[in-house]
Amino acid sequence: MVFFERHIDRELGALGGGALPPRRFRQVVRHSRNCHRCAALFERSIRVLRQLENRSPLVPAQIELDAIAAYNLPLVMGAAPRSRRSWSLGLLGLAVASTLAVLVWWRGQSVEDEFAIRGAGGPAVALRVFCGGRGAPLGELGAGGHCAVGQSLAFAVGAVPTHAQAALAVSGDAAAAAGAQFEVKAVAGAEEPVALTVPLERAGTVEVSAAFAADPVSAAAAARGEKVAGAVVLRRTVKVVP
Amino acid sequence: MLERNRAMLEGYRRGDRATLEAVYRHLSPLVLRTLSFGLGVRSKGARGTVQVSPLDLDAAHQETFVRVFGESARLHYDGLKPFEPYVLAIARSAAIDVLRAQGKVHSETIALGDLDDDQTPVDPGASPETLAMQAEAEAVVRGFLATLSPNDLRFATARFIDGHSQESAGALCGLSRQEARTKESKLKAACLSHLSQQGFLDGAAARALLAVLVVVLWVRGNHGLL
Repeated sequence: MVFFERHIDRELGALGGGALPPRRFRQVVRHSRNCHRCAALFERSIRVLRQLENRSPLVPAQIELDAIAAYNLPLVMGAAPRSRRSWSLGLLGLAVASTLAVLVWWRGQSVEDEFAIRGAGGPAVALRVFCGGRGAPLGELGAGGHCAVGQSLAFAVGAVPTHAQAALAVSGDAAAAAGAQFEVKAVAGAEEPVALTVPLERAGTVEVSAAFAADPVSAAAAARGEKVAGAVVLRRTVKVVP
Repeated sequence: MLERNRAMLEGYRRGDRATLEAVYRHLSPLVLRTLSFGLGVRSKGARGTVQVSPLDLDAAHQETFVRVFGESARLHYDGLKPFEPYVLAIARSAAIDVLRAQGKVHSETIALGDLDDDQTPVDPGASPETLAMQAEAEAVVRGFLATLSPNDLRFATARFIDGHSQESAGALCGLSRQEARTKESKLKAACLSHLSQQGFLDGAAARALLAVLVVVLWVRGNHGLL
């Protein structure tokens, strides 16, 4: 760790002239936080610079914008997630994991029909898929239903309060991957629409997966295909025809 | 930004580093300006404003983007609402948390949105503290201008008082772009140096004024004038 031992008086010229490098600027800030006299000196200097540049002591000076953006970037990116495999590969894993989860948890029961979920012994959650657009009215897709290229998919969900956090993921070769995470306020049987529509761009299939859990983190983890105790994942496959 | 660019939205949601860096570079100035302008807050039922000081600005900025790039924020953004207000709401909350951790605001303080419950616009720039700060800064700059030579004064007046751009102020004084840039840098450095010598920057002048005021009040009080 680099310590900035000197007070900041000698840096005022470089600060005023805009010649203080970002690293030095940060050292000045860190030193000033622990030095009462330098804190006042720094803050008044910055406010004078702001007034000179922007005619307001509240609008950041250019040296602040440049220095803070420069030295915070590696710190912020260090906290950001490492690059992961592509979204499509992730969704492929999600689809496989979801399939396994469905097989294990629902013991072979089909989840193609959302009505099979309600009252089936597990938490009451529901996923309904709709298709519409290109001159056709919006209609719900039943089990084995299909949709046409140029139309869009829409969704509605419902869940018991214990599984009110949901994550919805859409993948497949017929549409661009999409996703949403939200709180479900409607119960199964009185489902609410999801603020997500997916245009169908080409013929093929679309996989729709909805994960329900008690908290957003668990729902997101379940949607990613992780094993989360108590979470429920529903999956629908929609065929898209030309 | 993201609401109009599907590829970028997907990159953001999955935490693609190139996308996050692009988001950072695009929104960093906006976040800094918003935080620096001040925050409308509510504490114990009362509305008010708090300033994010220049010393706290970098911490609030850093905390903002750590949260914006966190998994929860990425997955909660639905891609339908405008992205910038979403980020600024996170920024206000992060700034209050930074100030709360330093004991600068009450533990119950919460950030208000652009509109409070009663739909009255929150304008931190109109608070008495801000107006006093503005008046002080203007007086300081005018005091510095009084020390300048006629040539420097002409440029400084155009740039710092009349609000011309650096290039425009230089053109008014017959300076090239580079010459105007150099002159502005020298004038700003000279201003800080001048104010430092005057004792203004470290608060010596303000403390001296306060001391004189206290003495005057004490003398008047002892003579039954109050």
